[in-house]
Amino acid sequence: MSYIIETALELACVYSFVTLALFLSFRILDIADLTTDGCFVLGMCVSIVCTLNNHPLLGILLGMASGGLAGLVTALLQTKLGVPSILAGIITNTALYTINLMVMGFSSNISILRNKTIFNGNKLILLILIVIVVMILLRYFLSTRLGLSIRATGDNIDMVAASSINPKACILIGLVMSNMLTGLGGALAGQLQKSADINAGNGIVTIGLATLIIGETLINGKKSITRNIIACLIGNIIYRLVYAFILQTHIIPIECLKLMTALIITLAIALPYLKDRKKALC
Amino acid sequence: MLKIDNISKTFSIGTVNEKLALSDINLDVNTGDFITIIGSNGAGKSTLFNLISGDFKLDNGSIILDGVDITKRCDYQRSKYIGRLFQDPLRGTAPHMTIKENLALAYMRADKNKKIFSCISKKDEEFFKEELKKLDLNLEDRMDTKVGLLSGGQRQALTLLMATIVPPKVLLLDEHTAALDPIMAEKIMDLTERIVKENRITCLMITHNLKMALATGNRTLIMNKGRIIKELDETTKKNMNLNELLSVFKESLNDDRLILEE
Amino acid sequence: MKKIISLFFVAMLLVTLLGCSKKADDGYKVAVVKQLDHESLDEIAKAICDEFDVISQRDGVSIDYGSVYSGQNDQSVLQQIGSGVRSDGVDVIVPIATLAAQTMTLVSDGDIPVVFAAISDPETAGLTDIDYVTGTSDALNTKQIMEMMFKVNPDIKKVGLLYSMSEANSKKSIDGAKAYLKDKGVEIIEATGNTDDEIKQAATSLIASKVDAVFTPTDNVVMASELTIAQDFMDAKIPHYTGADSFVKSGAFVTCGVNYTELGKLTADLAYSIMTGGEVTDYEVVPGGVITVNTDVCESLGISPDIFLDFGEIVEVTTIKD
Repeated sequence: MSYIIETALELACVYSFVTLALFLSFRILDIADLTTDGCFVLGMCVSIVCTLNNHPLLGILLGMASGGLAGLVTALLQTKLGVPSILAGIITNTALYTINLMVMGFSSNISILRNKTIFNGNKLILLILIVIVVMILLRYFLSTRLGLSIRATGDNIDMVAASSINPKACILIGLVMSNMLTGLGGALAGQLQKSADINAGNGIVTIGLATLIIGETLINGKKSITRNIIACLIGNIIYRLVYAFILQTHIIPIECLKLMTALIITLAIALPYLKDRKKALC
Repeated sequence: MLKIDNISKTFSIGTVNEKLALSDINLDVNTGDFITIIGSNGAGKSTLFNLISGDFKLDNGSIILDGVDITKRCDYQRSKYIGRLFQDPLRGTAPHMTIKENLALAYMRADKNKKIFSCISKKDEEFFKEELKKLDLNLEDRMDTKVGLLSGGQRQALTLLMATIVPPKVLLLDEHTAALDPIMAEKIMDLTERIVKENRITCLMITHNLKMALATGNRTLIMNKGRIIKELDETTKKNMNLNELLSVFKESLNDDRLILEE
Repeated sequence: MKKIISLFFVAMLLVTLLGCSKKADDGYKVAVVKQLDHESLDEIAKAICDEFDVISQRDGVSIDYGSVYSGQNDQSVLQQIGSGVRSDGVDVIVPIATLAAQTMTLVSDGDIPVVFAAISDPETAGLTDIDYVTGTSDALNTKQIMEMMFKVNPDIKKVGLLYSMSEANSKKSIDGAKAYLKDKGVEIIEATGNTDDEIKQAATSLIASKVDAVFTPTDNVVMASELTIAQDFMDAKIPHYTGADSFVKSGAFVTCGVNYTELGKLTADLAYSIMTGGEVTDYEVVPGGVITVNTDVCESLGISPDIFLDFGEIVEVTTIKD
């Protein structure tokens, strides 16, 4: 019984890093960054390859760092080569497919079923701890002067330049940080699921955005940075619990899983909107 | 203070839309000058500001600020010494961030490259509060309000404060009261003059309001079709009334037409 | 409004928590988990369930396999399915395909035996040497297919290898093929792709390189495009040797593979033996040796299916016309 809730919460924690990453890039920086899918798998592969060589903790750190590198590439494409942001992410994502295969030694799947990972005791508690620490660090960062500059870059980029701050540098740092978070999520997912598959990243950005929106709907829009950050985790918890509900109760046939997910996300977003509309005149 | 040396700018060179925006502009701005600039639409006034602030690259010529050639510097490097206000009061502030946060960012013009990982301290907050009091708009009690909730006039006042909280060497005012109601416009103008005087900031102001052009500053430039047609110095301005200015203005525009017809 | 949503949510949570079905007292509970919705996997799942029904009838026991789960090719979904299955208290989990098997093995953690179906390379997948994991492998007998290739045309000079790098099942077989062909001094041209159109492009490039034959192992990605590329190969008179009968039914020349219905049956039998206390071995390789050959292609190439009589039992099929 509790396995279901435990697994759902573990997955929610791991994927909340992706949601946090998208919060940073999509909401704060106002950039549609599609590097996420490939970056997640990159973190996963790097983490697993390190674990295979008996360095699980290093795997997490390197997974995060390699995610940051992917973000750096996307940022440089945008700022130095003038590639539109959405394309820059797609380009990096495409390149990462090959790079991920390379990291896995040109194999499409590696597993560490027998190796020791960073999860020695209770997986959920460690994950929750990591999530909380990262969320606190992120919140603190966004109140520092650098964090304020990054927030302003997504809000009014002209004002940033007027304050003698280099907006391109802010975009770079923001994207690197965002993808570091995705890489971290991937690294943790790899060691949690004990396998990495080249196809594991498909649709991650969709889930990330969906959970971001679900979380935001719950706090009724952009109230405060702190609430938004917490909402990233909450959105994931709800998403995973809904999945658990569908899978467990068999009320809805398994084939309709994705359709149901789409419906639930639509409901989550539409309900408050419809409620507001009722009060409006037309 | 600011020397503009023979600058020109043409847009869309070689296409059907080619437009000569500025042609051989020369200007010497002395420290403490407050120059008002008037001209017909399309005269090149805003383009001049854009070239000074670094938004566009000039075709030829150079800009020298306080003895340093800044022609090759980009906009965010120049904004350390050059402040700017726009007609659109929403342009200078970040709407989803609070007054305090906006001011902290503007204040970074002084802290540049230092302490990027520091947060806004109590000392900073006190300082911002004091500065906001000078605006006389009760904004000091609303430091944690998101700027997007303020009115246009309040945002413009805040932008003015942000542009001058670290006194710039040159302040460019691009019709910054044009979109405000008359009472607010007057208030902002008063604030502008006071702040400029207090900090001895060199100022260039574009305006369509001839009365304001005459009453403010020590020099006035009349621009048309990418050139500076006429300059009025301090004495001439003092002795001129509004009607006279209007006829001088019309005359300058006509003169130019005559020159072209020849 | 918010209250209603929260109430609904709490209700949902309670149902999830309490909704775990109880095990039937006399009988067995099995969970069959496909990695994704796919023709071969569907075939295997059906065969497994049918065999469970047969066993039920034969031995008078009840084997409840519920509805077949599909992981939608999403690792996190597979994990959630696994957790649900575990809390359901099933007697055995039957995952189909590599990622599903790895995830179920992880989730089971020794509490529930795992009997996987159709994993080409259990060693590389890390699924061997675990005392609660066994299953059936459809490891392709690549050597035999190579021999068939040379029986048909002893003068082969160039062979094209068409596969997808994202397919876990392909690597071992391709490496084996390369080794065999290098030995024979034959030129190898590799063409890979990860999506439908990439595979089509890869196939076209092989045709342009004028290869004498093309080999594809049990590769799901290529399988998805087989109907289209088979026609091109046939027109270019290039025989396409493949790893599974589903290819041949879609227009490939021949395979020496495993009958997936048989594999499903065997997996179900193996699962039943585990449920009734049988010993857990590493895995069983399902013998191939079923030569499925496409007579339409035979006609167009001017080759008789009888050429393969030495290799095993021949099953003749024609290309499905829908």
